[in-house]
Amino acid sequence: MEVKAEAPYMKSTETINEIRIKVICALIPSVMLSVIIFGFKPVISYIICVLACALTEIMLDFFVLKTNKFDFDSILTGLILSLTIPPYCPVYIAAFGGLFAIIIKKLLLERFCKKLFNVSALVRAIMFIVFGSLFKTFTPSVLTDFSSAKESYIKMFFGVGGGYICACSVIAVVLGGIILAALKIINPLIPILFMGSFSLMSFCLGNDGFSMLLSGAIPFAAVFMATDCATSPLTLKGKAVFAVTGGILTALIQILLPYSDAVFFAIIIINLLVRPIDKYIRTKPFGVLK
Amino acid sequence: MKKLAVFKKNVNGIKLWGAELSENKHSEIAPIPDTVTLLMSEDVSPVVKIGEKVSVGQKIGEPIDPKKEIPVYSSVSGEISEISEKSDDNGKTLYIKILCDKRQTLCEKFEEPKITSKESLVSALKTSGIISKDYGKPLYLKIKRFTEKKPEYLIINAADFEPYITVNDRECIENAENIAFGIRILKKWLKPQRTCISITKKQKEAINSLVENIGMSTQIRMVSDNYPNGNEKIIIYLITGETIEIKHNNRFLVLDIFTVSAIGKYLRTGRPITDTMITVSGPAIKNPCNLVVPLGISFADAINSCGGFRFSPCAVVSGSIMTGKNEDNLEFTYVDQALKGIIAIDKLEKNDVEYDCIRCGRCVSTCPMKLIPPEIEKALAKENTIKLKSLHPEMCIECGCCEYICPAKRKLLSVCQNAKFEVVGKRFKSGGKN
Repeated sequence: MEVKAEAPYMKSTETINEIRIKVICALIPSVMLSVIIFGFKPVISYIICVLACALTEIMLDFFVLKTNKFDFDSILTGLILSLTIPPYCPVYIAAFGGLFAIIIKKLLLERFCKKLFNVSALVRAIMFIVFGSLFKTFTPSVLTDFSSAKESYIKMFFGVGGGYICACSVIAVVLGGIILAALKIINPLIPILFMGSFSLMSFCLGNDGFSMLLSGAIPFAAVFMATDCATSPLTLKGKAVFAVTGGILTALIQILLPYSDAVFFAIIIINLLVRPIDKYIRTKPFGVLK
Repeated sequence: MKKLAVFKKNVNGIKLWGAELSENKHSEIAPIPDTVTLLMSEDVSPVVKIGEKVSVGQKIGEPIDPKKEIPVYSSVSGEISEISEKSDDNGKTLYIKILCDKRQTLCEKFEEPKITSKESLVSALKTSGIISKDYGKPLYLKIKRFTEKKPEYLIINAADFEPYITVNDRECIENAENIAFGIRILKKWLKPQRTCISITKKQKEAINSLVENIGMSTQIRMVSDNYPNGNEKIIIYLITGETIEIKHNNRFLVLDIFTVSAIGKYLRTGRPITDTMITVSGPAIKNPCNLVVPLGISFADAINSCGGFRFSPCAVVSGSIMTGKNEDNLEFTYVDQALKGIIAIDKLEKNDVEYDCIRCGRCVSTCPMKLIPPEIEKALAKENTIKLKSLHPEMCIECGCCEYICPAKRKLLSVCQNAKFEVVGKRFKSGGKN
């Protein structure tokens, strides 16, 4: 059969790089609030990390892979990664993270397992294992001396909480999530179900899930990492299963092990589930009578 | 207006633009061109000779096997100048070229067909030469299926879901009496259990005109104006809530309102269909409009009657912009009844760069048939037939939504077409059909 080579003649103008730039724009609220809260120290680590990512990608493309495929993906990875590290941590950690992220992405993930893992979550988890003790030293402690639980929730939501850069202010992350959902880049189902199932699970395990949610990096990871399209299922049903599993796993790891950076490990684990989910959880095509 | 009901069923799709170019313009009658060329398939034999004078509505082609084909009528008055034959993959095609004398003298033999039974309705539709616009084949074939069994539902689609095309909308506004007459006849002889007209919210003028002429006897229903809601399967779902297999459909009769209007026109006057309305539109057309043209006019003449091109177009597409064909040779491409429009576009999105799939899932959430194009693409590349069959690419309606929306600019439409062919072709072989 001869295939009509050119139809459709009408195409949406959106490109992959546009999507990435939009995600970077959605990160701006988080970046700005971090500057307000922590001063200009985090900005240096953003710049270093993004530069490390971009330069590594260019070098790898030029010397090793002999291709020219530079896009905004590495910048985005670098920015997300630098947002998950402690605000006052030494610059070399950020540089190492960026370098490592691109090496893993380019030489391992894209070559051998077709982007199986979310790069920033994977590198962040590795960094936690390598620099775990350093991270503790440079992380400002979360404020806990509130008069009432309600007040603490409100304050944490608007950003007085400590922790990592991204965890400082939930409102900026929510704003970014709303921007992405409005631009139809992410499906709001994933972050909502992720955070919801996390709160519910930690409540079931006897903890205050809500305050854990607000004080950790979970909202950020749920909005910007779990929704990464390359490492999330295609169908709506699959996305729901993926997000709920992620939330439950995070709660289990965080409370039972206990690991403070459980969310990154949980995302790596649910990334492994994407292929099976895509295979077994499918929507029935319209009009298939069975 | 009490019977206007908004139906809540919805199917995935995309919002497209383009209709605003020709939406509120009264149709224009194209000037008679110097020559028209009428096409006949090899099952029709010409009954005229070169040099013979013909008038409007005169039969020039008689089907050899009356079961297969319908007669062809001259759309202009003038002189037969050339009868040539071309053969391609679909068989031989006869081209009959008529030099127009521009007087449009009518053939005097018209008489109103007398409808006394279902069978006489079908044979009248056969002699009328009506080709259905949505179906692309002679109309009587569609009606014939319902001669023994009454259709459960007669659905008449009055909306234009294709971008740029506004033919149905215009027909509702301008020829509502014909439509009313057509509906009355169809209802009288086919006796459908229910009849309804599907229309979109935007077509306020069309709704008013339909309500005025048809009255309350026929339900008018709103559907969303997403592309590709005009597909038969989708419109049946939107109206009745049932999913069916089109091949074995003998319960629902779906007709274009333009076709119903043509039925009405023929049954009222007895004059065979010799002209049709097309939308000539697109950014590259100087004066986009709805044009009533004699059948067999070349694309170039049709475009010239709209003021020609504003600038040299990038592509001239016949039919639908999403699924149509790019016509290179405008002088030698001719308007037939199944054509909805000619669209000249100014720029093509560059298709040469295909990026890797980023699995954004846009195609999945857009596909009206709820297919998974990236998985189909993967299975097709690996030639994994079992997996391919489990993905049901044969359900694809080839609407092109997945390719439209893809940010990586992957050629998903051709992928789905190939996959469909792979699956359907193999199934047909094993089933011993076709």
